[in-house]
Amino acid sequence: MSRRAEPRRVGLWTYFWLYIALLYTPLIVLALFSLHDSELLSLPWRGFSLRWYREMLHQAALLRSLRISIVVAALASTAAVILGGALGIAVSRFRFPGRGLLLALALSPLVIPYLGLAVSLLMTFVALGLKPSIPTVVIGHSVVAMPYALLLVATRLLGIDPELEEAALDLGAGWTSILGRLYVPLMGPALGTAFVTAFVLSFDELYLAFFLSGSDQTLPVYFFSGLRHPEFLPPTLALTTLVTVIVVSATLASQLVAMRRGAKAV
Amino acid sequence: MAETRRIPGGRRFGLILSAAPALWLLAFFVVPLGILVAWSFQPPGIVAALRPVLTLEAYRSTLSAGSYWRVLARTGVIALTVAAVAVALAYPIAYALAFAARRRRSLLLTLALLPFLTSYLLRIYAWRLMLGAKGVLNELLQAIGLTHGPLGFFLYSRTAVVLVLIYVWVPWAALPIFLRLDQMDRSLIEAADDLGADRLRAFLRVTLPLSMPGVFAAFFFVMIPTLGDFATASAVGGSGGQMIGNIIQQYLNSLSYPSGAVLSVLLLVTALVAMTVGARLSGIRDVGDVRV
Repeated sequence: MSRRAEPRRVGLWTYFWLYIALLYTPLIVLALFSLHDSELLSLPWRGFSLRWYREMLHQAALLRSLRISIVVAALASTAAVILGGALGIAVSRFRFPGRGLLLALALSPLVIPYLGLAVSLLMTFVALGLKPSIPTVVIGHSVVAMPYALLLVATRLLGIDPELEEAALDLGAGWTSILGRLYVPLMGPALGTAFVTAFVLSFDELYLAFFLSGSDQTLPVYFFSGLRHPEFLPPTLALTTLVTVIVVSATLASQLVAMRRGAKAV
Repeated sequence: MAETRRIPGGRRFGLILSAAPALWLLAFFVVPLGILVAWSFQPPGIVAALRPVLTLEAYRSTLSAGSYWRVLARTGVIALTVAAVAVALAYPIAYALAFAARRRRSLLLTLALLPFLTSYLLRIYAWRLMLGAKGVLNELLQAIGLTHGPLGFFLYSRTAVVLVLIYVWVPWAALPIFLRLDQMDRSLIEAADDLGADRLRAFLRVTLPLSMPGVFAAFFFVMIPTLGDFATASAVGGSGGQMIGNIIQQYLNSLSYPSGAVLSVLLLVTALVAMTVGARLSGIRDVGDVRV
């Protein structure tokens, strides 16, 4: 194969880096303001300080909302991975009555405004006389995270040769052992990705949590309610910035490790 | 998609596996949407419990207020604008990542998508700091002597809402376009090249049409959540930038469930119409056509 002359694409890359700069500037400014030695989140600049990071450790309500967010995200993503994973196996490996309808139904949370679903679930719980609390948010988040788990698992399984099951069946394996010894190990990485995706989705979700968390406010709900009370903001900003830094560095680190490994493999 | 051969017991096993997810979706997705519709047929006002009544009164009283139609129209215009601009801004990024990036491609991809992993509220709130009266932009303009006092029109306007929503969603719009371009058979572009098409022509006649499903997916993945947004409008919108979500939130806060339900039904119908049109245009039919 003859190598074509690679175009330099200066314009394209200029645009790319401008875009990246614009994307990151507000976030960097925000991170700087969390280090601002002032109650006011505005200029003029009064110097750096870690006071808001110290202060956030004494804000009981803020720390409680962080704990609730972690619990909700862990439960919701577990439910989403189990339910979405089971459905992913079913729709990618089998034909059964109602398959198409069920698939369309399971994917529709991807294209519904979360606000609409949040209001529907709230009104359902109100009609049933149930008070919004942690379990109701978990239910809401599990429904919207399920399609991601389903797609990740199904995409993975679609790439696997159906002869594997046939071989297993020929060797006398039952369906339960095929599930435990064939599908689950094959899905391994997809299940992990699905869990992380669902966790991140739930952890940052505002609209379902806003209506379904009641007095068990999650971190985004606490943050949103704080927008009207400026005195809550600096510590909340500090905590959210810290969480963001952790998420971002974890992502970059896993990326770099993967690159190292790729380089070594070559 | 992989052809599933008829394996003894496979059909039954498929049904068993899908029973729990199907029941979950029925209980927490289908039934709640029905209950929402039931609430919208209750008499308007503060209603504490669902009663066996069926009246169009809530629709009549809510929809006769012209202001709500204006808000709904504004919401639609905002969502369409945000989705169109976000897709246009994201396309070259997706293109650069799919075709021009060589070394460190996955690192660049992470860099472009990473802001989407940061807190949604943080990304909105950042713009209050950027655009506020004592914000970074105003201070910068004064420091370089372009203005002599803070300009107030940056924040609390419809433009601010559109700007912030574009900022929030643009990384998400790049993803489906990138995935589509990345799957593309590169020999098609080389073929266009061999047949004498210049680069622009090859792009317009081959690359762009083939990437349209990704473009549609990106458009709707941005438009649908934007339709139901209220956090952006309450942070930077002021009274002129209110969206339908803000009104729904106010109704629910004051426990006026029937009117809130009417507007939510309207929101969902709008999204459903958009989605149906979108699915028709983008040709997404089965799980194999959608990739995360």
